[in-house]
Amino acid sequence: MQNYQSKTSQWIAESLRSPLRAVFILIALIVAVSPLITALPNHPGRDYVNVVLLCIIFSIVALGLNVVTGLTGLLDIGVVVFASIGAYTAAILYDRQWMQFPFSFVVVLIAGGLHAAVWGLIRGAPTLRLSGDYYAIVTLAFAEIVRIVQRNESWLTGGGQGLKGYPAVNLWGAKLTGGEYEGLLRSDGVWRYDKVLGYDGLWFGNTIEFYYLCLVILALTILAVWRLENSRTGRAWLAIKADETSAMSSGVNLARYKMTAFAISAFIAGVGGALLGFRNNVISTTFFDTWFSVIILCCVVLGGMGSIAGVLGGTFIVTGLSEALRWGLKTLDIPDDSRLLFFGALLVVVMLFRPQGLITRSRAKPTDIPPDSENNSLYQIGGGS
Amino acid sequence: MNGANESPILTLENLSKHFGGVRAVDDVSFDVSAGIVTSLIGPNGAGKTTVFNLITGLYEPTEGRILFHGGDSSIDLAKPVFDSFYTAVLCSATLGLGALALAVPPLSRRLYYRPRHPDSVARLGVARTFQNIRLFTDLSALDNVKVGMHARVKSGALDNVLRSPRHNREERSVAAAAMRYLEFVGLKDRAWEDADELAYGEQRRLEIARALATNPKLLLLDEPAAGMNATETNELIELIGKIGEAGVTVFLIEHDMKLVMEISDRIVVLDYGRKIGEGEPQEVRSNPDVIAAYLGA
Repeated sequence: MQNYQSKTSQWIAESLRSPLRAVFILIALIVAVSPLITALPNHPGRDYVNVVLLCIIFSIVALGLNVVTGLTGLLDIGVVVFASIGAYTAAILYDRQWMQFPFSFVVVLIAGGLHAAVWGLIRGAPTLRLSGDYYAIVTLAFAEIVRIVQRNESWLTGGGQGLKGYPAVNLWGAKLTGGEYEGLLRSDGVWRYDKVLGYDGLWFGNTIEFYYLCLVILALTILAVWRLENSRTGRAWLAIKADETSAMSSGVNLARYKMTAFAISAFIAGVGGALLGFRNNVISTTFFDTWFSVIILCCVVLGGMGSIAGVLGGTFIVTGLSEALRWGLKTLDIPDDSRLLFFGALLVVVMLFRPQGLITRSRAKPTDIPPDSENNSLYQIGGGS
Repeated sequence: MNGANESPILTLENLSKHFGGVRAVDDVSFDVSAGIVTSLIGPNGAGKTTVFNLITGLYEPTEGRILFHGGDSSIDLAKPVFDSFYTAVLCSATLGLGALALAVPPLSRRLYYRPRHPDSVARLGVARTFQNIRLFTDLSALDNVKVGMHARVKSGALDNVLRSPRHNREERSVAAAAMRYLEFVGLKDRAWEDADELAYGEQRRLEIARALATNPKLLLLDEPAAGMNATETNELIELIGKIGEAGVTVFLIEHDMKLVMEISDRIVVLDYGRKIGEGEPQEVRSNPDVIAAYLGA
């Protein structure tokens, strides 16, 4: 315990000295408390919280993309496929009568993620031998195929109109009721979730619970990706990224680890997409189009491929900038699609001055390796002598 | 280490590899004996690296057999093997129709039998290094060696995410063993450096450590001394001796004749894809064909 405490205080002292980490802690604190502050009646910052929520969810999708693009080194310009499949699956399931039970939200999220993972495997299997540009082209083409199917199969997806209006139920499956805003805690001691994030609508994606759920899912995603990265699976991915030939010759089964990466990446992106559907309260192919993939890829490349901190930073910068520009350009009476021009310029500048992205993957730090026991069966040269 | 065990560990039988009209390796047959150091020499473009690529499964031979006698029975590395992964993928992609092909041997042989993958060769006990160093440049030296031990541990993605007991146990012994492999090649102090920050000679030794970490019975070294100075070459000779003494059979390609003559027990000479000589260093040195190939007479 003593040791643990000294480690914590050491970490805090270290964090205060490292400006980058300090900035990250500050941002994390702001993200964690801002919905509570802006939930005050008539607080002007509600739209801002909605943008932060978008950043959080985009971060989840970007971390999913990072598994394939940043860790395994395959350029994927079709992450929208998994996000949209996750979103449609979750929405269609959530709409069923038999899905209206407490925490059904969690069930549909996982279902969305798993369905996306299946499509990740289906897209992955024939592309195992491809790399570089060829792989990227396949992902782009596949994304278009899926988008066109989603646009036309209106019996399932609502077609061009998309799916609108999630059931107005909260996390416990209880109906969200309308009426006037009464503050966070009603007089009868029941928490109120609607209007908290600034919209008048009543749906789960607009409740303060949803915000914190997204935050928890982001934290879990970060933890999972970090753990994968620093273990046998992640080492195999990074080896494939660095050199496929010598990875194979070192005993890494390329097909297996690429498929693992595809499935995990698609699962994370699928969960992120499902959350996006909940947040927006509408799912359509105009939101889940090719630009979606490009923006997410932009977040990953700009922030630093393969670095979790980089991906998070990149996503918050790009998404935040995107929403700020949308607002700014609107006030100047310029079509807000022209904000994409700024991303182009930003990407060119970053690639010129920092091609590896804003934050690079942290180098291995020397750690104590416990002294080896004499009978470590893994250390073996020849028949032994 | 000389002559302790003269039984072959690897037998190449009429091995050929043609790239279009180019006969990179043309009807080559020879043995690599267990427990001694065999060298493969020849002028540039003679097909030496192609032979290594054929053995390790990076190329599929046009013809011939590669018999590896490392295990209980001999295995033909050149023969296609049943690929359960592709079978599963194809069967599921065709909604189970692919399983019908399994009942028709000629069809399943064409569909589901594929050239042995390099990772399978590595798992059987054949490791290699590369002529142009191919390390995982953005991983630390230690992690490079850990990747070499990849196939010898089992924890999967789920173990890794949940930090299961198996994961913890394996990670501990992998880290400790990787450190000892680095110690073996003399890189213990450089364990935490990125691979591309090591000096040239150190990178070569790291590649050897990574290859040793797969626990090979046969180690293929592709020009290990290329670009090394005299001191580094001497250290390398010492290291190869140590590896041989530990019981790993070493088969190497080398241009540095001093090194070849000093450490080889047997030499095979290739020229234009054909074997032009074979024997003990003294024999090869006086072989007129070999002299002609090297001096261009």
